[in-house]
Amino acid sequence: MHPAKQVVRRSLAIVAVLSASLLISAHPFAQSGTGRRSLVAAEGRDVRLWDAQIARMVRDGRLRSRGEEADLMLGGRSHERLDQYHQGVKVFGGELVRQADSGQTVSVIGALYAGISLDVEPVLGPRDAAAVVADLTGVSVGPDRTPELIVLPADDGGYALTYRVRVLTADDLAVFFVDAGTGRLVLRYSDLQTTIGTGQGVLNDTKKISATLRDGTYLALDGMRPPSIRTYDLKGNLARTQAYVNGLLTLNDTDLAADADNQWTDPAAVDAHAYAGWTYDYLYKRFNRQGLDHRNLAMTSLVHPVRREDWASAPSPVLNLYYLNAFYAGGGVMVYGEGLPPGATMGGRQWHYFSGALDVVAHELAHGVTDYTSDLIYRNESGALNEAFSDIIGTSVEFFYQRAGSGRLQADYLLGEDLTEPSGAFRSMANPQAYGDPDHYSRRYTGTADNGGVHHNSGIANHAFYLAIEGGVNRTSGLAVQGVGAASRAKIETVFYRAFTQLLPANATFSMARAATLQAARDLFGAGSDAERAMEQAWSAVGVS
Amino acid sequence: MLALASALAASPALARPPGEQPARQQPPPAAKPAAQPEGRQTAPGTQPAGAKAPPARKAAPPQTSKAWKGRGFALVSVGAQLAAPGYASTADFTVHGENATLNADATIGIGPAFGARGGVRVWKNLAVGGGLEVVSTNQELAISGRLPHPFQFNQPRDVDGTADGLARTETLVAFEVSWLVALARRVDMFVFAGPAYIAVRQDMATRIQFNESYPYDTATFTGVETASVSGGGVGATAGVDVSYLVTERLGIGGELRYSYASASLTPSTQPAKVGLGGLRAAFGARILF
Repeated sequence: MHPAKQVVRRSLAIVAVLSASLLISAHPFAQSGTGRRSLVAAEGRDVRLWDAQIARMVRDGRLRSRGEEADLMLGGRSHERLDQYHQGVKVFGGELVRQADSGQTVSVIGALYAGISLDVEPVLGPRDAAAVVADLTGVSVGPDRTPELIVLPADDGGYALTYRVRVLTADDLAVFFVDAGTGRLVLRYSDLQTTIGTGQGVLNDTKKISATLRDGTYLALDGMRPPSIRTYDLKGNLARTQAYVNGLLTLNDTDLAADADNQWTDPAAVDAHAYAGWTYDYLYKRFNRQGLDHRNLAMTSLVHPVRREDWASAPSPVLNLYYLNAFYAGGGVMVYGEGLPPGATMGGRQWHYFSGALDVVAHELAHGVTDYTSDLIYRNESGALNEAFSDIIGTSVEFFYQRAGSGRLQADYLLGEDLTEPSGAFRSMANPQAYGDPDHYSRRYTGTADNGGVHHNSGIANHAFYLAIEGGVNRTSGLAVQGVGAASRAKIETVFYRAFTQLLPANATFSMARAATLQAARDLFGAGSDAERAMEQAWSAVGVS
Repeated sequence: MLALASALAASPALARPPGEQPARQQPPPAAKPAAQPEGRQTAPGTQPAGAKAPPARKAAPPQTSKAWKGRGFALVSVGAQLAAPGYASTADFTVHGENATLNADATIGIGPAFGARGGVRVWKNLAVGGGLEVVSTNQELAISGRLPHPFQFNQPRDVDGTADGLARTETLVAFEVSWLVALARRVDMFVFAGPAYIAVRQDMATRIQFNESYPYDTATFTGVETASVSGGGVGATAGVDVSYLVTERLGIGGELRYSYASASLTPSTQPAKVGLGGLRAAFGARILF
């Protein structure tokens, strides 16, 4: 080879190596250190960099794809979720969400954990971990609830090899992380995705109920919608309720709420059953979504988990969870609190059956949607976003079926306002501060209670949703927002749905939520659209940049 | 029932040209008055013997008021219903626990008609008698309806469609007064009218059949369920019957009749006023006596 050519070739090779090094070193995940690395890539160069990085991480096993799902709103688009793994063990909260358009990446949003150096050989087996949890809670889980080995990033930046298991106890639906080496409890947080508030049962509104006639009895088993929607009457048996949720008991047709003449008289069962169907219909009609998992997962409602007449003697945790609450228990199962008997009051209010409020039912079911999509971790900011998404869906379902107004059975931006006598609410999207919740990021709760304030900080995203639709001025920042208008609320609903189910990772932050909703607005309505403008102004108004 | 053929059947009793009139029906010359009243003429063969023949003249055109000397007539006919009044009906039924409605606009088709008429002369050319007709037709229904949504109150779905082949049978019984008019040598016409009772038995739509699927925001019309409903009403009938006598007693003829009555029929919960009768044409045999 000619010496001059050799020089040129060597020069080109050096340039190529240097360029690659620069690119890699510029990559956030290539930086040294440990801990969480957040990313939002929506521009061409960033996207290309992350495409290359993702390809490398998939090749060496640090990322595993959960598979792609076709976009339900935009033809040609698809969404892929990639979980982070360390030596074959999933890293809790390490996840990227990649959106593609005809195979070309449009955006990557997520967070990964760097600097993991753990031995992934557990000393304990999964049953040992289950036994630890059983010792702690007094509750055993069934064989199909095997604890999962998982790398848990600690808040201080370290990592622990743990087993994760979710258990419904007498007073909580909790997630436990047990050290796989020592059996020590590393982390426990409540996964009780609830709307704490006002219950409503019977407002004497007549609604249709889709039932099934078997052996001369009408059962609360919906045979007209694509998924199985069923409502069980636990007849006040808390032990059976817990056993069912924990996978230790199978319910059968005799446990279904029933009626002799199809003129249903149990309002708790009527509302739970009807509103579950309405929520399914809303998801289908608004987003073309087929149920909680988009595969028509069965939707199961449990009513009467305790006996109303026992409320006075019920322990406080049982009273708070099974009387004055409702929660999504995973796997498409909702549990609705019993409320209080007529005449009994708590906090100066009478409490109806918790299945009686449409926004509450839709809120709980939206947790199921989150479970099967972004799976927003129910702690801190991601937990607040999880709650906010449920509030957004709950309110949106109200507006879908009810006339806008401020009375009973009317759509508004209050949560759970129909559950009590006299009427009250536990959150407001229009004015979160009125219920003690922040309307601005600067006012966010940073303590550890309530899983890091998931029910409080949700007010920030809730208010952004409200402002993006209705417009107005944020009371803290004084910034004005030009909303899209109530007649166009479907735009903002769709933007949030797309962002929260298809673009956000499990450990999302408010900042990611802003980026994801802006991306969704551009995807759906174009750059410069009123939806994008409203979202941008709304997030800025609530202090999220 | 077709009544049209009756009118002409009485014509044998009219005066005939020489050689054609039945001797049995010829009134004796002595019975004839010396002078015919103005406007009433006898046939040439009835001229009294010995009378001076009038100047030769052209044969007179058919008269409309020639004397009818027969005793009566009978006829049978086969024909068709050419037009009939339609009707509108409404039915309520229950779908998904809520009231559904059906509105039907019926068009009555052409169908075969069979009938018989008869009458007895009572005065001059006037006869009284009766008629019976049976008409069988099909109906075509233009259907529109509102079907409740399975999950929500007050969110009906509109559907429309057509249903045909619905059976309908009418039976007419009439008391008729007929007046004979001679049109030509062998051609006579009866004009008749009278009260009639028309009975009907017909299929009426009671419920919409449809297909629906999730999310049930629309429904597709597939047909109707029907009920056979009967009733009747008093009305009137009128018509003309023109016949041609082939022999002394037998002839053929055609009839055109219009009848109308109405009946209140209740296919399910709401009564419907149903028009009966219509325009019918028929042809058949005429018997004179």
